[in-house]
Amino acid sequence: MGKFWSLLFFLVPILGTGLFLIAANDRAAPLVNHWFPKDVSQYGYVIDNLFMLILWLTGIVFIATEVCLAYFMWRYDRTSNHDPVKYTHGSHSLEVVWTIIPAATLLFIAIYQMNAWADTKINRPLNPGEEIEVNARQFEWRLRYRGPDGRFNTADDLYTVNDLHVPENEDILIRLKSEDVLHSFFLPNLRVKQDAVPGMMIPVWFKPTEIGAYDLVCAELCGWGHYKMRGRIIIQSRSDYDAWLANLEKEQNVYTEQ
Amino acid sequence: MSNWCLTSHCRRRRYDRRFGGELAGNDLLMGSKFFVKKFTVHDDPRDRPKLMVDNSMLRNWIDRSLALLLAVVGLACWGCHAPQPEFHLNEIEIIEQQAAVSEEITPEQRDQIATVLYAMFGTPDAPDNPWEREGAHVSLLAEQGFNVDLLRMAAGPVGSDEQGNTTGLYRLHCSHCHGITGDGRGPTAAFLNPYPRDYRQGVFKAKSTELAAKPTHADLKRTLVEGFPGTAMPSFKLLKDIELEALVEYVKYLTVRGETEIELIFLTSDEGEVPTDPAVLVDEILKPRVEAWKIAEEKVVHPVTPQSFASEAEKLASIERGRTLFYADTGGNCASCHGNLALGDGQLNLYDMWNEPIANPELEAAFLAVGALPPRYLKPRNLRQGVYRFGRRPIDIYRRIYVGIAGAQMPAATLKTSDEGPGVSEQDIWDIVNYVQSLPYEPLSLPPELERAGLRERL
Amino acid sequence: MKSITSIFLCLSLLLLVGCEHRGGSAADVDATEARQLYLTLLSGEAGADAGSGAAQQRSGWATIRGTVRLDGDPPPPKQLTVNRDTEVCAPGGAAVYSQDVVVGSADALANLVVYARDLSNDNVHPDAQGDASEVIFDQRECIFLSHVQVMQKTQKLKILNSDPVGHNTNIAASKAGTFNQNISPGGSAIYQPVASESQPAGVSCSIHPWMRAYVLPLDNAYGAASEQDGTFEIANLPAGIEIELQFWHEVTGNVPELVINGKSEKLNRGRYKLTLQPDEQLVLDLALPAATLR
Repeated sequence: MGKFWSLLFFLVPILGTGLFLIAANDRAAPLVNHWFPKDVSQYGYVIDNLFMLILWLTGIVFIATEVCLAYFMWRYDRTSNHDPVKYTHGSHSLEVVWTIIPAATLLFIAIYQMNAWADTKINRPLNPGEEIEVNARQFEWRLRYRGPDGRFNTADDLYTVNDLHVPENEDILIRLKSEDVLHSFFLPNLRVKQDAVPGMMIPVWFKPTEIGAYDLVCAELCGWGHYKMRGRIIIQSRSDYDAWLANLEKEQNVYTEQ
Repeated sequence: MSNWCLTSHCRRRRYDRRFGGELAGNDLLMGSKFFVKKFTVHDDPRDRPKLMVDNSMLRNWIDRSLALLLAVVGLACWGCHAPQPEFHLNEIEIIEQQAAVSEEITPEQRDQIATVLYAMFGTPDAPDNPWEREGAHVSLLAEQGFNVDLLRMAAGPVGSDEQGNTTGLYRLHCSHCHGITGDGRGPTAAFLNPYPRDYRQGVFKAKSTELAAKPTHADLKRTLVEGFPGTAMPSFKLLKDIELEALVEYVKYLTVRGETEIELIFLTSDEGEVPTDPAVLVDEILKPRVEAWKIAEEKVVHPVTPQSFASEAEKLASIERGRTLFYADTGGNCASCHGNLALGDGQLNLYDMWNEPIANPELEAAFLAVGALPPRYLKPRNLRQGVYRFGRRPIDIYRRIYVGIAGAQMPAATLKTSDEGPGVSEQDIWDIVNYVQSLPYEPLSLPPELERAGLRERL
Repeated sequence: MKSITSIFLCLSLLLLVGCEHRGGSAADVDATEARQLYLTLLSGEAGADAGSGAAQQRSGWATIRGTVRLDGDPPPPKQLTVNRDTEVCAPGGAAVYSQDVVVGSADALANLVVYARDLSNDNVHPDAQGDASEVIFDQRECIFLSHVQVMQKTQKLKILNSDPVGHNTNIAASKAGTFNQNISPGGSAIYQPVASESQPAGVSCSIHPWMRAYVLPLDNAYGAASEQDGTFEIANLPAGIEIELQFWHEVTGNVPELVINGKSEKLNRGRYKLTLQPDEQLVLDLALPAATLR
């Protein structure tokens, strides 16, 4: 067998690096759009950058560790290495180094991401272009719009389900609620993911930048029908959006048919 | 994985342990102790046992593990081998009918009923014609006007056809709750409140048609698209149109099948034998039930056009009139069930037509034994929540008041026969609609002059 | 090895248990028979022979009249729970009793229904079909005044409300068409059956759930419910052919046993066959054994 195990373990960093190289260009085959779904939000790039930063950090450490592992297995293979075993009782300076480096790295990440956290969780837009109530329940998204008077909880609120329409290039504030159990409001293309908790109204905001239809899915196992809790977000121009709202209002105020 | 031995020493120790009994106790613990001992005590490399992979041992282990794995998978597959989904007999109806005529439906008759249903409605996999491969190319259901292509798309196991359309839609989306037979007793049914609809009686609440009529095609489709807020029925809005069409067709099929079955059970107990005469089966039983779906369109209720309001004050006046009618015995009399505050607490101990038969004290145990769900009281709607199961459009609420709710206890309003007579006019119903729509936004504590007379004393 | 084996075995047993499917209702389909039936249903000959069966020749008309008695002590009356609109429904706080068994003087039993089954229209007297009149179905003091209403399907049931409180009338018919409508005080509504029923259909009021009555729409006039004095009459029945009478009572459903003109008869599904002579005036003296009402 010889150096079989060390060679086998050496495959890990090789394949890992290869994967990084392929993934780095996810516009090309074979990983088209398997890396990240298309980002259509104004703030999504910050989330993506954070993700990439952490990926680089952990990736480099991972590969370095794996290379070391393979090297040691190779170097000290018992078939070729007959040196007696040496024992140490630890190295204080080494321990200090490998405690301080990760601690500093973590601290760096914690500080570096503070703005991103604040921008997505604390600094809610003061004058959102649209405010929509999303009520998650097993297994659908019940949506409520403010209606012509621009206020919730009035008789002209507009209701729909699973089909979230939002205007392009405006701050959208979602009032996220749950009727029954934990759900998670996940817009992969907008880099938004937020748990919905029964009894709470959690604000979520984003600014969509590109017209189109994208996924709205539940990212928290919420029951046997979790997989069917799938909706759609449609980003429209302001005029299309207004027309859609007007139509929704018309559909909701039908008095007679024919 | 402490038993995974690669060294001869280790093997020997295992051997010792097993046969010599020199070591006892926890396998895991012993194994780890053993390794620690070997590598700490034997400092001299020459003395150390040679590390080598014992190939025969490894192969042996792999073989054994593979065999075990296969055995487990095999057992699991055998255990999980689901029987072919099949339609179940309507046991509840059988018990009811037996009790009604005091005559037992014999096991042979049960088999015969199942056979007749099989001939008429096929199986959950082949609803229209289970014998197509045997040369029977005409389909009874197609003759009766069912779209069998849609039926096939909805029936059967989940998969996809050559065009990439999803098939087995009913099992994918519906049968968890509504059951393979459409009996409203799928695996999740017991956890839901209200229970999922049992299609077999052919009665649907959400419809635009008269009380005794079937819902229209559009009504069923709207149910799928919008779901029922306030119940476990979700929206299937994002399904393709053809998928919705297929599901609607399949629900109609299950309904006609269920109604036919109920009629067969009735005729069997009433006449002592299962009808097999084609004239009876097709002309008297099947055709009228298919026809009922076809004529639903003619039974749609069209409200009169409501007055338009020139000002907010006029709308408020309409709401006020609606409030009076809501509480008045001679008007809508809505408060008798929906309660004096419209909180849905007026009449709390009634059943709907699906739960009522089960709540028969003499037969309940027998019903539960065949899988009926424990009966639940029907709750009048709390009108202050702003949740409208069958649609929040004014026309939906109008139809509920004008028609009532089939299968539930909600009656139709009395229509005035003359201007002076008791009851409500169609414009009055619009006033009630306006009032009902205002209820979620109205404070519970009203100024005394707006309260129903004597309400304070009653409460 | 032993422990792994036992763990695996336990796991597979668990799988077996967990995957066990609850057996459905057992009914064996005879696939060959089903296929044959399927081909018959398809053949397009369905209905060809329907109705052409050699009908017996009617030779005239006859009348059945009679009385119904209760043979034995009536069961104790059931008191109803009146918990709403008591000032109207239980005037003076009086106890209200169920009307399921109504026994008049001399043991006369009311509300026992007699009707003829399955007569083709040829054998129905012209006067006994197609009546389009209105039948009054009133309610007072939260009691349906006609406890069992027999009618022709062509007749209209005019539902009235003589109470100062609102009622609703919920008719749970299976074939004649369901009906559920508010009846305001002094108001009325019309129920037009679309078909006949084979058994009386329950009538109830959701507002006053203790209220109970029955309606039986028939294809013809060959049906009657016994009056308060126990009498009933069915006129213009076809003579010379076999008639099957159906006896029904609210408590028993299909009457299982009846003393007919002094002779005790076990009735299969409440049915009794007889043939009348032309112009016969048959008198049936019926007695329902009280034991059947328990």
